[in-house]
Amino acid sequence: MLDYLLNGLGLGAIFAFIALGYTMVYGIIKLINFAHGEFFMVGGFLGFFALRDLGIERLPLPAPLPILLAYFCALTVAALGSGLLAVVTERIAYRPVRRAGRIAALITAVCVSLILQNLAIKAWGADPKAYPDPKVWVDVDDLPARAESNLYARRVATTSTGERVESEERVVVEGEAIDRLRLKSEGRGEVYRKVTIPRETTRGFVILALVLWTPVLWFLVMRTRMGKAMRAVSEDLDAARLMGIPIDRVVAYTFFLGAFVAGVGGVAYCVTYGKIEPFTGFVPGLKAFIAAVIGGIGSIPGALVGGLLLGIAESVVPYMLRDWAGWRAAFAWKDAIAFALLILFLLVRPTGLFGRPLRVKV
Amino acid sequence: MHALKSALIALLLLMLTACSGGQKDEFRVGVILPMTGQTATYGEESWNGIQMALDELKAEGFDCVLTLRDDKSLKTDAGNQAKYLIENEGVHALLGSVQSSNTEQIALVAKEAGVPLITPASTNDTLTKNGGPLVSRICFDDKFQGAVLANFAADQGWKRAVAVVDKAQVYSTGLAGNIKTAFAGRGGSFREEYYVTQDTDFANTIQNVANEKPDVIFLCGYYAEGGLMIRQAKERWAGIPLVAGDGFDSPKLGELVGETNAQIFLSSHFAGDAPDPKVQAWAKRYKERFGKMPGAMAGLGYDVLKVLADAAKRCKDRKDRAELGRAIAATADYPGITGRISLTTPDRTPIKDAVIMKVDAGLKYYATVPARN
Repeated sequence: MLDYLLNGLGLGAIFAFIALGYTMVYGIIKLINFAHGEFFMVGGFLGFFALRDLGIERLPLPAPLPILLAYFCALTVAALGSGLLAVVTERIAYRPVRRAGRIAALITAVCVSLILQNLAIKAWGADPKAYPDPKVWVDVDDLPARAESNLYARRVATTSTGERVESEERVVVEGEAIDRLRLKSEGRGEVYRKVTIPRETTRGFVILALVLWTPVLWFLVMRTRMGKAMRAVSEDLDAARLMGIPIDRVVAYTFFLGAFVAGVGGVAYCVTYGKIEPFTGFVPGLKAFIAAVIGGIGSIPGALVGGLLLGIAESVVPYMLRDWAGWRAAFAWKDAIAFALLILFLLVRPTGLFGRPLRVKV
Repeated sequence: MHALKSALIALLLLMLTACSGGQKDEFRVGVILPMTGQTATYGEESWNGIQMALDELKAEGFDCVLTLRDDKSLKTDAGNQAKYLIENEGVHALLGSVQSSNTEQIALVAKEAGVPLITPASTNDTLTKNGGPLVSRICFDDKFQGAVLANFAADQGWKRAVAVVDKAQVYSTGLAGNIKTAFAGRGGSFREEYYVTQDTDFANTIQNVANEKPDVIFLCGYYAEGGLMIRQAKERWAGIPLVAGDGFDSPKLGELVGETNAQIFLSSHFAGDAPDPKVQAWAKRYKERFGKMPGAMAGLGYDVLKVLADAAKRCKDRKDRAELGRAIAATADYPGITGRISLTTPDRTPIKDAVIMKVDAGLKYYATVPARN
């Protein structure tokens, strides 16, 4: 039971990460930003390229530092990149239709989501890619005399057509002697160990980041000048404009903050589950939307609680149905169970946990 | 204004008909493969194999026009592409697809339209039976594969098994059922756990399996989800051997699994590094052309076009779909690169050897399991 609770908590923390962005944007301009899952996916891809291509893991620093630095850079690149993408998207797609009514904005959001997904397919291919494993680079002269099972060598070869082909191969079979000179002469002088990050570590990171981030967001919204402007825009957009609040800047800032968090979530999700593809953002995005609704859309603590609740429900409810009610296939139906719970919940509490009932303005 | 409009429409219609045109006397073959999506490496490898076969056939003077359509690893797209190829391209025969759920949809369309279909790699038992006399395959079926896997595990002395089954694929549920029957016949105990296609979080499924403390885990599904599951299960399944079906035969498997100490075996149709010199020579030619070793799908892709061409050559009129279908079903002892292929057997399913492969920084040939008699 405890294992299932922890699994649910880890997943729920990621839903909460995405839900934060949903809820902030909705709170300001009443737009359900369906493209938010795509910001998450783009964040995941940016982290993927940062980890694979920046080469930070190869910096000559003491052991765990290069890996930590590499992941820190991946998170930063992903957060800033998807934040920037959100600002650009808002400028190009959402600002022109902001006055055209909520249905137009909603349809635009769905379109933006599909466009981003298809651009990602075009740019990076539709097939799933394994997320890069962290590597500990070893100098060939420091290699042990006998090979260990997880020593790999990188080989860069140039084909007859001038194409550069990179490949990875085991140094030698486990237990065999290593011939250093031969490795170098064969162009395999770059050797590394692949490390696996234990699941508990990534899960701990996601939950910790969430616990640290939510108060920061809350502070930004409740205690800063920009936050005050955000709340004013959310109260009444036109009145805020008349008071001299730069609406466009406030909205762009909100989009940036939301997508910044989603970018971090994207990398964390991909590292935890091990793959990235253009559809990565779709299902988590949908679930995060549910989480935001459960929490009361527009409420920051609501997104946090809603995300965690949904993650736990998705994990613990099928467990109960399987182990207590004897329904063996319950886990194959976990999505249906989560969505059914949402409907039940909304019947009882349509405004969500922390939502305020809508006041009709006369 | 009206004149302009009708002129535009006329132009559009002209373009449409021009697109689907082509010469009347060609022998046209529609190919449906998963070129993108969860099983994209199957499409890529099969198509490579088909290309090799096509070049050889053309050199021999056999001419045909192939049209490739992508089923995106989705069963709805598979059915639609079959309709497109039959209605718009007027194909005389269909080849494809790989996933059994997808081929099932193609078979429905082909059966109704009376177009012969050969699937290179779909192994679900009921496929050719339900598809009728025009539907055949050149691979073994899951009744055989299930027995191969169950016997392999039983021979190692493993008694308690859990199968992890993709509930959304007929291939997976069918294979699990066949393993169960054969494994129970050898005195083993067998339970099932489930996930569905496109899942990414397997934490709970992994936990369910680990709680049973099995001697062996059977993996009934495809490499995209399966590889990810093995990656996520590194700690929980440590020390438990894994045995998978041909759905795991992909060059992508090693990449998805990452660094692991797990013992992973799988059954498949063909191994490029098998000791047979004929296979090795072929694999060498493939590698020279495409830059990598061929997987099972490459061999099956190569054979499927060759089998079709062999049948077409025996026809008086190869564009007569019914005659072509009969000729395919009369294929006897065709020497394919993946083994001897006879379609005169019940349900047009050949009786072929299986190979067992071991995952060790890529797929390595391990053993051959001879066909049942």
